[in-house]
Amino acid sequence: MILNLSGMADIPEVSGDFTTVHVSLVRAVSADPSQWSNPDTLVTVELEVSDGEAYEFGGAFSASGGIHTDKSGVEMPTTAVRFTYPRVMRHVKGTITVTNGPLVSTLTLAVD
Amino acid sequence: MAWVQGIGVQGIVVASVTTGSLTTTTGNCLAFGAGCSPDAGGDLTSVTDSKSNTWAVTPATPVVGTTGVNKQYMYTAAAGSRGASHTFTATLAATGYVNINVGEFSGRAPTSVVDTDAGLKETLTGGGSNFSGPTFSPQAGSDGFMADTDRSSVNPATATPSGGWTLGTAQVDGGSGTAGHSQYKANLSAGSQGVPWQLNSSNVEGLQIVVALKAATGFTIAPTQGALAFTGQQPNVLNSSRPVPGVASLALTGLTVAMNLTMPTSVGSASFTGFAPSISVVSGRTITPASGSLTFTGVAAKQGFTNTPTVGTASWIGLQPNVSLNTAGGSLTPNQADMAFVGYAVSQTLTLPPLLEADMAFVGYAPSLGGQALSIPTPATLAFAGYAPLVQFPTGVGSLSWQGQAVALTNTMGTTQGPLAFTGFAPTLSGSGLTIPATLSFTGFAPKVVGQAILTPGTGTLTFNGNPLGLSYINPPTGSLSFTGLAPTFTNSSSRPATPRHYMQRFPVGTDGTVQCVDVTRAVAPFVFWNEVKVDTNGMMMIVVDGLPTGWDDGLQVNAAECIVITRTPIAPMDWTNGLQLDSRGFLCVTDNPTLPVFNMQGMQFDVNGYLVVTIS
Repeated sequence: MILNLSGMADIPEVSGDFTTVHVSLVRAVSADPSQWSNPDTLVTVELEVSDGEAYEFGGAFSASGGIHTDKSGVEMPTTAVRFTYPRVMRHVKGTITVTNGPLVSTLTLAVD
Repeated sequence: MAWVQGIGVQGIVVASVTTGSLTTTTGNCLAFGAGCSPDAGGDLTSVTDSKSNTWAVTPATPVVGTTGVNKQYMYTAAAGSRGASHTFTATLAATGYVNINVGEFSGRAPTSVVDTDAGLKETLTGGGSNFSGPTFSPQAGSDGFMADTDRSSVNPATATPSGGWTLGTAQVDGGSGTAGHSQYKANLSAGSQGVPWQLNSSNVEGLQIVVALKAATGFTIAPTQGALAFTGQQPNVLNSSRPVPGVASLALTGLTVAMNLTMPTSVGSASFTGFAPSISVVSGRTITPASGSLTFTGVAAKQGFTNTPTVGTASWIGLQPNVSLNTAGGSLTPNQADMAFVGYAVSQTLTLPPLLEADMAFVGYAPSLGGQALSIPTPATLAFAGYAPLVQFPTGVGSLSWQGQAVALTNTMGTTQGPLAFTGFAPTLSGSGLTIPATLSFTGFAPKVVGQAILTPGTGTLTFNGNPLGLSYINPPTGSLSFTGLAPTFTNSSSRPATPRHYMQRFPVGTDGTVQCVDVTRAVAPFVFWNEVKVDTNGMMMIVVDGLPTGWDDGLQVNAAECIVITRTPIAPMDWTNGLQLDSRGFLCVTDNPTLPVFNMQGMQFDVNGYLVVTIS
């Protein structure tokens, strides 16, 4: 899901039997500073999951943009969050909210 | 009581992460393991949850990695708010790495839940993959929960507990982030022990914190749909809420719990074996088995009981409960259910409405039935074994039986199609209109009939087996009437036969061959009724006056009533030793000669009416 976004947008539903949801957002690195480069751009992702019944809260995270390095000085190309659930879920969808955008990035949602 | 569930989340280059939601249970303990990498962003600034619980850190300081890049924290919330949509959040001071592993435990102490804790930074070297974990010394019965943060060199990082520990949650992205996991072990043994586990990586540093969560000495039973059973010493239930079995079963075996019991509409069963509870029913409350069963075995409960229309079963074995119905309008209505009382019967107001299909039985002491009417259940049975109740009998078609002390039938028993049986003592029948149902049988003592009672078998069968019946009057039945054993005695004048008028003269033959006059009070004639009529050694019938037939001056006459009497006219014959003969004319006469009739002037003839007459010449 390629983003050029300000404000809020829906994350389309993904279905399948899963206990884990992976969400990643491409970040800025020196080689490509066009992606989510502004450190003031705050992204909040909220998920909803369903085991076949009503949707329930599936987790959330927030992160800021800019180039980020780990302890070894390696630039991290993505923000990645892995949600685990105590039972099998079948549907996941969500919303992404951008503050101080616009946000230029690519969002990936996967389940397993 | 142990591990309930867990949930986790792992974030790489994030400022905060929040788990998905759990439905947690009131009274359960929560343990919250959180790991982070401060050098890659901010340190952990807070852990929170959506229920605004207070989280206590344990131990006071985190386990820190060799280079300070990683930290592992542990928090607990022994009690507090629980429920649906329960989420857990870790917030960093700045963008960095974080993992959360949360576990829920039941049966833990509501306060001071931490028995002990221990932290360990453990580095695998030389290609090893086995962590021994922090060493700790819990008390027996505690549950162990360990959370770790490690920077594995592989992705996914796979943690495998051993030594009786079980994987709780796992955050596996070790290749590019901060992996971690949690594991738990219920009901720990006392004494020093480790927390063993393996990782599919080597030369890695694991930051581990284990916490031992103390078992509760008291606990809360929340509403449940499952089965709840207590065997042996029962708990004291101290909470203000009432245990509600709902659709499940609630069984208490042994000493019974003291509790407030509310049984709403339920299809489950509730049973008490042993001492039953004291049930305090407030006004308007009822115990309604509905389609389930409610059973008290042993000492019964004191309760208010209203069994509304139901298809369930209510039974008491042993001492019966005191049933306190409402002062007006209360009823005990088994309806389609069976209701049995064994032992001491209940004091109650009993209404058995028509169209019942259930059986109702009392074994032992029967209840005092003070209602206006006792309707015999229609196709069902009502049985009393032992002391019978005092009742009235309106119409019914069901069977009704008594074993033991019988009921006094003082009122009309309406037409019934069902059998009525008395085994043991028969009832006393009085009143003016007792209509016997289809089958009325008495096995044992027959009933005593007093007054003007009328026994009308109708079209059925009236049977008496055993001691005789003192009947006043039996209307001609169209059914069968039989007596087995001694015959009945008719004592009422209304039952006397119309003829003969002098039936009281009875002449039974004694053991000595004599025919004796009895019932002297009814004698009219002859006046010498005290004499005896004997048969002498010659086969002659004779009248004996004062022992021997001497001085007989009376003769046999026919009086105005056409009866043979003794006359005081001493004409002939004089020799009473002679026999009665027929003379040559065919007259009966007295003779001294047994061959010929020498005294033929006193002949006996038959008149034109065929009566025997005595002719005195």
